[in-house]
Amino acid sequence: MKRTDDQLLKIKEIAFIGKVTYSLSHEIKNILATINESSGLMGDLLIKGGQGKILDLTRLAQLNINMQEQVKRGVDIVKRLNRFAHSMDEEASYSDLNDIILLTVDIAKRLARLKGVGLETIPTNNPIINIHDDPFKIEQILFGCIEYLLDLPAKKTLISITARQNKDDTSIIISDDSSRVSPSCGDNGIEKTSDLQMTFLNILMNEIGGSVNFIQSQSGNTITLSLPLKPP
Amino acid sequence: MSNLRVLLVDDEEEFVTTLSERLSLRGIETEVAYNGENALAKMNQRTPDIVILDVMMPGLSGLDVLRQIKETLPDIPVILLTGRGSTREGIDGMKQGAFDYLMKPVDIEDLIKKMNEAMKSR
Repeated sequence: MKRTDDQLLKIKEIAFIGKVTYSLSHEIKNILATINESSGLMGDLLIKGGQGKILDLTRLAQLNINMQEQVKRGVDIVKRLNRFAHSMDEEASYSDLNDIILLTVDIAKRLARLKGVGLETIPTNNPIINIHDDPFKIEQILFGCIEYLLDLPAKKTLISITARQNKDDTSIIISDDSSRVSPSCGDNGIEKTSDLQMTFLNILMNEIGGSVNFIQSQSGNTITLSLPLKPP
Repeated sequence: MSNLRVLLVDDEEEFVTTLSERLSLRGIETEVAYNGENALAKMNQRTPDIVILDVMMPGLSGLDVLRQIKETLPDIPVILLTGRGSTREGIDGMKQGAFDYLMKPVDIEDLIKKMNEAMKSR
C-alpha cells in the first residue's frame, strides 16, 4: 500500500513523540536506579554502624549530596518532558526560536551521546527570534536534522546549531565537524534511509512554507533551514 | 559468594560505583568499567568470574560487548542490566548468550541471587 504524504507525516510524528518520551524516561530510570543504590548504600552503612562499626559520616554526607544532585537532574528532565508535551498543544503562535532550539538540543543530547557525538548551541544574532510556526513542528524538524547528521556515515564528534534572523527569512543552521565521507556508502556517502529522512524533512518544511538546503563539504555537513517571516 | 570477582560495566558512573561498594560490603570483589571498550580491556588483563553489563552505553553497546565476550570467553556468565521498560532487549541478549537480565532499578538481593544461579550453572 502506498502511503500518502499525510500518512507519512502522521507516522513520523508519532515516532518522534515515541523517541523523545522513550529517551527521557530511560534517563529518569537511570536516575532512579542511582538513587536506589545510594539510598541502599546508606542503609547498608547504617546497619553496619548499628553492629558496632564506626560510621563513615563523610561517606554518608557524600551519598546525601549525590542523591540531591540526582533529584535535581531528574527534575530538569521532567521539566523538559513537560515543555515538550506542552509544545504539542500550542497552536501556531509567536514563539522564541532560541527556546525551541535549546529544548530540542536538550532532548536530543542523549541520542547524540550514545553515538559519541556532542551537541552545542551557538548564540544567535538576536536574543529573541520570534517565529510564527507550530513549535512542535519546528522541534520535530530540528530533531530530524540532528538524526540525519548522526546517521550519516562520516565520523563526527560535534553537531552545532544556531539561528539567524535575516531581512527576508529566519535561518537555522545545523552543522557537524565531519571531515571526510565514508567511501562505502554510494556516490555521496548518503545511505537510502538518510535519503528518505531528507525527503521527509523537505515535506515538513514545505508545509510551513520553508525550505531545506543540505551541503556536504570537506569541513563538514551543513543543513540550513529557511523559515518564512510570515506564515504561509 | 566470597572470593567471587565481578566486573560491573555501566556508563552511569555513580550508579556503578555505588553498586560496586554495596557488593564489596557483602564480600564480593568488584571491578568497574564505564564503557564497553574499557570492560573488554579489563577482561583481557584479568578474567572475572561474572560480568554485569548495562545494555545501553555510548560506543560499544552492551550487546556488542556481550558478543565479543561470548567469542573469546564463552564460559563467563553475563547478566544484563536494562533500563528499558520492555523485556525485548533482555531476551535478545539471552539469545546471544547472556545468562539472564534484570531491569533497573535493581534489587541488590535479586542481583546476588541471579549471580549465584549463574555461577552454579557454569
